[in-house]
Amino acid sequence: MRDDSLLEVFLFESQQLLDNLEGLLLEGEKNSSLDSGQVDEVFRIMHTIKGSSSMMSFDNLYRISHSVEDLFSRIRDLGDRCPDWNGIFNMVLSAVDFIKLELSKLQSGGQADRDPADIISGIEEFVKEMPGADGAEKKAAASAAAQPPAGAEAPEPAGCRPCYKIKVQFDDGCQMEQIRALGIVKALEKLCVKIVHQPDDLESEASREAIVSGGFTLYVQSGENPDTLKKVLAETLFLRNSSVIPLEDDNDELPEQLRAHRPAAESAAKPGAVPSGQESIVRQNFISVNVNKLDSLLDLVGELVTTEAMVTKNPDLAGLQLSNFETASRQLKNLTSELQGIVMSIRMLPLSTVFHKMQRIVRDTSKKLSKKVDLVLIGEETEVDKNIIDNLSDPLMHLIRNSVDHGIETPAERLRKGKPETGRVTLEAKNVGEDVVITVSDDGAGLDRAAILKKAVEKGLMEKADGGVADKALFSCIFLPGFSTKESVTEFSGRGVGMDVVHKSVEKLGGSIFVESRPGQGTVFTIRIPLTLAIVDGMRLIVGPLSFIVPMVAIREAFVPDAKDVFIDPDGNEMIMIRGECYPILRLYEFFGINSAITDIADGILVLIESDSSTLCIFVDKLIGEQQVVVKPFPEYIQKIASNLDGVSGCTILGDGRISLIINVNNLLRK
Amino acid sequence: MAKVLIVDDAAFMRISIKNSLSKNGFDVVGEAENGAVAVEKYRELSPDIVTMDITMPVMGGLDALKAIIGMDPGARVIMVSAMGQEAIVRDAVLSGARGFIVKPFKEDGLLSALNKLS
Repeated sequence: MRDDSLLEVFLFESQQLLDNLEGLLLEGEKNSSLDSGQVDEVFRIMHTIKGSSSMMSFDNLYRISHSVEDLFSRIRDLGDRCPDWNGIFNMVLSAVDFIKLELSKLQSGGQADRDPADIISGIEEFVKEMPGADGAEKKAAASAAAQPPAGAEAPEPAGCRPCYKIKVQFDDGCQMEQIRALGIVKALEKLCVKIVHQPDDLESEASREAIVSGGFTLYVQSGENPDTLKKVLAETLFLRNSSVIPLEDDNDELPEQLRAHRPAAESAAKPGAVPSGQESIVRQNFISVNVNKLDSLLDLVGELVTTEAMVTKNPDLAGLQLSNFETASRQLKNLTSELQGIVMSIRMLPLSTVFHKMQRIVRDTSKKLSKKVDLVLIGEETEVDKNIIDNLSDPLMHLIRNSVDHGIETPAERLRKGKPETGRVTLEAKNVGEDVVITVSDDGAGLDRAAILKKAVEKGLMEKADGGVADKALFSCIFLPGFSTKESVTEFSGRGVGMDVVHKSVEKLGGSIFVESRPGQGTVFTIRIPLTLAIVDGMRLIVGPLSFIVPMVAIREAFVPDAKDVFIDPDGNEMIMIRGECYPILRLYEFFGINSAITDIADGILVLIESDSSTLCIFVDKLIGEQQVVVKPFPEYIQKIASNLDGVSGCTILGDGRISLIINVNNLLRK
Repeated sequence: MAKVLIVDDAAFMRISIKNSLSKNGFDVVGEAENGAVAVEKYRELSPDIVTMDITMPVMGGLDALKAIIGMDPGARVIMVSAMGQEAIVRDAVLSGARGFIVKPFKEDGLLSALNKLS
C-alpha cells in the first residue's frame, strides 16, 4: 500500500519515533542502563517502525528494526539480570543513525537501499553473547493459551449424531496457519459433540507446514444442520477453499473416537488470564493539521489585515466625521488583531525538539574528541514559528560542534587552567520583545584574537596594523565565507564553511547573529530572530516616488535635522551629532539610486535606526505614519535577476494598492 | 455499510487502513491509539467490526479484545499482528477474536478479511 501521502505520514511518524528513541537512549546512557519501562518503550518503538516499514515494503528498514526489536525482546526476557549495557547504546544508536539516513533519503525522493547487514550482524553477535533467557520469564508464554483440544467434547448423551469430514485450505502466505486452524476448531466446538483433527498438534512449526502443504482436516460429530457448519467456514478469514462431506458412522475413514463414541478427554482449560496493566489515560486535546493549511490560513489572515486597512483608512473617507463608523472600525481592527495573534500562535512550537537534538551532537562530538562536555538547556519551552524550528537546527548544530571542537579544551588542559574537567556548553532561548534570542555559549578558551586578525589580514580584510580594531568588528569576520583559523580540516570543522552557512541561515530567517568572547573564559554566540516575518509593525516613509516601510522595532527616533549638527568625518563619511553621540548618515536616495527632489539635509527627515551591529541615521523625504503590513517575500524572478537585495527584506501591498519595499536594517550597512 | 473501529498506536497504520477501507465501502466510524481508548470507543460507537493492533501502550490489543468481548460477546474483532506474535494471537483466537491478519499485508487481504465478516 504505497502512495505519496502515506509516505509522508510514514516519514513523519517514524522520524518522531526515532527522536523519542534517541532521547531515551541518551538518557539511559547517562545512567548506564535502561529500566524495564524504558526497555519496553524501546521495544515498542522498534516494533512500530518494523511494522510500518514492512507495510511500505522498505525491506532494509524492516530488517534492521526487527533486529533491534529482537535484541530488546531478549533484554526483556532477562528479567532482573542485566545485559552488558555499554555495548548496547552505541550499537542501537548506530542503528538509529542508519534508519535516520534512509528516512532522509526517502524524504528527498531517493530510495532506501543501503544494506544494514553490518549493523545487524553486530547485533546478532551481541545477542549470542547474552546470558540465556529465563524460560519462565517469557511473558508471552505465561499468557499463552492452554493446550488446544486434540478432541473436544460437549457433555452430551451418547447417541448417533451425524459425522462430517471437513477439509479446508488457507490462502497462500496468510501466515500462522496452525492458529487459524485452531480458530476453526474453537468456532466449531459449540456446534459439535466431538472433533478430531489432523494434524493433531496445532502448536508447532511442523504442524503449520503440514497444514500449508496438505490442508487442515477435521472429523466432527454434530447434530447441527451442516449449513450451520458451513457458515462457520464462510466466516473464517483467509480460507481458500473448504468442503463439508457427511460420512456414515461406519465409514472406514472416520477416526476411532467418532466411530466408537468413546468419552473423550476433558476439554481444555481456559486460557490463563493476563493481568491488564491499566494505567491512567492522559487524554491529549491535540489534532494534527497539515502545515499547508496553516500556511494558507496565515496568508488569508494577512490579506484580511491589509484589506481591513483598505477599508478603515480608505481615501474616500478622508475628512468625513464618522463617529459610528470609527467605533465599528476600531472593533474590526481589534478582532482582526486577535485573529492574527491566534493564527500565528497556531504555528508556534516549543524549541525543545531542536534543543534536544543537540544532546546527541554534544555526546558524539565530545566522545570522538575525547573531551568531557555537558550541555545545559535553558528556555526550551520558548515557542517559535515552525519555519524557524525547521531552519534552525542546522545552524545550531554547527555552532555547538564548533564550541566542542574549538572552544572547549581537553580535560587535561582545563585542569591545568584551573577549570573543572568537564566543559559546559549552554544553549538558551528567551523572548525579547518581538524577537526570540538564542545564545550558544561555552566556558572554553574563547576566540583566538591573534589568529583571527592574522587571517583577516591574510584575506585582505584588514590593514596590518592592529590599530585597536574593536572585537565586535574583528570577530564578525568569522562569519565570512571561507574564513577559518583552524590549520587542518577535521571531520567537524575547519573548512570555513560552517560559520558562513550559519550566518546565511540566520539571515534567511530574517534574523542576525553576532559573537562575543573573552580569552580563556569562553565564547557566546547570540542569534536574534523575529518571531514572525509575516506581519510587521512599520513606519511608512517616502523617498522620491518610492514608498518604504521600516520596522518600528528598529526605530529609535525620527527628527528634522539641523544642518549645523552635520559634519564630515576624516574618512569622508557624513555624520551627525546627537546629544553628544556620533552616528553615520545614510542617504537612502543615494543608497538605492533613487531620483529624489529632496537632497538638502534640511529639507528631509532623519530616522535613527538600530540594528544588532550598529546604529545609524537614514535620510528620507518624509514620514507618512505607522502601518501594520503583511510582508511578502520577493517574487522569484526578482530574486533571480537582482544582483543583491541588500537593504530590503521583502515587499508589501499597501491599503491603496501601491507596493512598498521593506527595509532590512541589518544589512543596510553592507554596501 | 459496515461500521469499523480502527485500533493501532501508529498513526501510519491507522491512516493506511482507513484509506483502504473508506475507498472500499466501509464506514470508518472511529480510531483509537491504545486498548483503553478502544474499549471506550467501542462502547460509544458500537461498530460492526474492530481491527485491533496487538502491541500498544497503556493497554494492549489482547486485553482490549477480552474487555470488548466481555461487554459484547458478539463483537467482531480482527487482530492485526506482526510475525513472531504467535502466542498472543493464539490467546486472542481462543478468547474470541474472529480472526487475524499478519503484517505486512496487502490491501486485498485486508478487504477480503473484513468483507467476510460484514
